[in-house]
Amino acid sequence: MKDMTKASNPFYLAFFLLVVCGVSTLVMAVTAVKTDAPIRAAQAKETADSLKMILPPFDNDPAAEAIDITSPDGEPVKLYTAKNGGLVVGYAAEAAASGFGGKVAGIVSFKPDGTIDTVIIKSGHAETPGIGTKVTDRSVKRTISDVVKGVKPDTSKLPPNAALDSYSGVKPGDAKWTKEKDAVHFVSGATYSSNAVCDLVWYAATAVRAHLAAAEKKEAN
Amino acid sequence: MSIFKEFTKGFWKENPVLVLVLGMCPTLATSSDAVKGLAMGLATTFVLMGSNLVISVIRKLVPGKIRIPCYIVVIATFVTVVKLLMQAFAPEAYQTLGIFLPLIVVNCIVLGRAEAFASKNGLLASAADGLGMGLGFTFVLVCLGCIREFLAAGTLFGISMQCWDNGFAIMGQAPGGFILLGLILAGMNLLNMRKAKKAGIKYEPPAEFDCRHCSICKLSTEEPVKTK
Repeated sequence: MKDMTKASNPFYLAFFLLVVCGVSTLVMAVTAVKTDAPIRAAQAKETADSLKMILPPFDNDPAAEAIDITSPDGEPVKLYTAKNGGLVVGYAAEAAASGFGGKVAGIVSFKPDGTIDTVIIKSGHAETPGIGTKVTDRSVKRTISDVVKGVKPDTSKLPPNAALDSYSGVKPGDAKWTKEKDAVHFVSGATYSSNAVCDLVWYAATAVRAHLAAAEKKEAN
Repeated sequence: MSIFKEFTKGFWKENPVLVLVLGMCPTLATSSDAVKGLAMGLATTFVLMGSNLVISVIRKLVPGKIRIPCYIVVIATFVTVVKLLMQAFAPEAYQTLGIFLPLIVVNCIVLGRAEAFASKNGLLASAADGLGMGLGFTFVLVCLGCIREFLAAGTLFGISMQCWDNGFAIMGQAPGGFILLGLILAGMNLLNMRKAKKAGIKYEPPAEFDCRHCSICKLSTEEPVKTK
């Protein structure tokens, strides 16, 4: 005989699952609504902090005025323009490239003429600790003796990173820079991470160059 | 068993990683440094405690046939809540964990405890079990993270120990995690075997800790072993 008690009635089972899913949807929806504003604030703060660190002092809101452009290689790049008193004081471009452990995203700042100023990596956490992070990491290095002595880390300036700093002052040429020909710094053992940084700086730099050239052409017309 | 015992068993006797050997994927992936391990452990603890509590409350209402989907929905809800909260209030930790945060849903520790414990025990015991298991998991992740981070990069919690910069690189990656975890498991077995030898009994892992007793996946064709 077919057992049609409550616990095995398919309609009851479906109804029960529906109720469980409904309640859980409600809980998730409430959390999503409640955390929406803090999440946006956290993301905006991260971008704003990064921009403040790598750009000269500005008085506009580059994050709000950001535009999406594409590099000549077809990679999406987000362009921030920093102005002070209406004058452009610098650009920052956000780009991403594949590293060893997924996408490495970074922001590159430029002088108004398109020369690279500073490179920082936003998310390079998937790179191998101790190897790949040597290329991507700009966090303040604290040592155990600093902690014991109570030395406070210096947060006023950006911590150096030989690989990222090697791009400063470079202006993109016609050909992509290579580790043999150019002075850009590749870390041995971290080829993938080094390539990722090189790629993303290249995408950002060429996109900015194309953007500047287009703007100049428009002005000339 | 008292509530306190339910809480403390997660640390050693039934440690989810070292004894139950559950949740290997997040263990190996997020124990590459101590901070990551701590963040992952605490997030999992929250999910474990929350899902254990809710499942314990609804255990008598849920029809047996659809209990697993119901548990997964409860667990997924908690994971989504944790994900949103971390994204809002701990964005750094959220970024560090990346894909492994939403993947807590399929962490077998969480479903394992729901099925093996919370669905059979009361509210307080289930909460204590979840908290204990979660903290036991956190403890193992932080220990593994400290050792791997130290060997790979010469740092602990990101602070340089000033001994080497270019360490034992493989420890920072999954193979190093496997090797280290294998050594630790072997060490645990050795300790337990010695203890058993001293007491004059033959050491055998308890039946709860392998596939024989479990009916979740019905892979074993044998009758489930009755446990004490």
